Amino acid sequence: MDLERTEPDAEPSERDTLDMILDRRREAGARILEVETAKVKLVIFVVGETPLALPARVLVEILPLTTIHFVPGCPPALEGVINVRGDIASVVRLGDLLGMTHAPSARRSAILLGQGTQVRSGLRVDRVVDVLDVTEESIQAPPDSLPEPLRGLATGVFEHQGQIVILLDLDRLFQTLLPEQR
Amino acid sequence: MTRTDEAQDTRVEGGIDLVLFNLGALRFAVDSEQIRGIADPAETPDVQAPALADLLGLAHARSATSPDTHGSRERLLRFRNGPRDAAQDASQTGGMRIGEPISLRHVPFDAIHPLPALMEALSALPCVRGMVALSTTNADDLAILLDPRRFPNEARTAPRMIHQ
Repeated sequence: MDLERTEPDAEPSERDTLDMILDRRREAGARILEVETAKVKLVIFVVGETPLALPARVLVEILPLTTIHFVPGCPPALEGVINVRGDIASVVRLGDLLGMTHAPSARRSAILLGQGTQVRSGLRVDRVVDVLDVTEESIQAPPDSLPEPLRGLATGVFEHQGQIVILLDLDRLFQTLLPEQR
Repeated sequence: MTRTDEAQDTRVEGGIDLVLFNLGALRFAVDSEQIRGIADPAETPDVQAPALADLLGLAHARSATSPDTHGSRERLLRFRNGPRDAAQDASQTGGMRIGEPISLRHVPFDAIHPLPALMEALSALPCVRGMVALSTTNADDLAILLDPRRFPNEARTAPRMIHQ
């Protein structure tokens, strides 16, 4: 059996082959990774004690709680308006739409400025928990056990830090306020 | 273009004069062109004009501006009628009671903001037309823009006479 070392001049071509194989494997791995990890960026927040989420693509901005100016003649769920760098935006008490009680205003309270298909408005929430990418496959259909009106406004549920988070649909939220679109 | 139209265009480009007043903690603005005068209710004791706070559903604001509770004076804000009511203008000009202080402020066009779409769709008060940013440095210095032409009819017609 010939155990002589490989000729030095053969090494470059062997490395080339190996490099090609590894490169192909890396590319294949990257392709697989891309397919398997379709993700959606979500903003997780809390109203009362309930963890909720909205897709980040429908949220223009997350604002700290600021002065909300009451405007007479509006339903209670419409808390008022805020001045966002010269633009006037309405603010909705999200808890009122969901049948939940808001926690008292605190330093961590926030306003999510949402842009729906037709309507743009702020949503008052009690606390923003996280902004993170969630794999689409980890989002499950909302269970039948969800109470109304939450059930009709949810598009899915997923687990985050040991808690079930309810993913909401912004347009459906706004539509609950607009009587003619119900 | 008529002269009136030209005057209106110039006015819009240059901004408008607003009469500002408070009802409780809320600040309101009315286009000065819509106001015929500001009177002292004490000088017109025969007129029982409604309180604007009542019209807007601000019971707390009314008590806050009541001269009996806080010593602030009330004023009678008299509005001009629209063109359709011109014939009635002399005899039937609506008025409403508001609280002092009252001020006049010129604001630029871009300080006027329509109500946000959601609010406009849901408001039960057509007379609430928008918001006015009164300061470029203080985002919280806002006033609610009222349109007297959209007050309920009963509030714009002749004030009730007190029969003794």
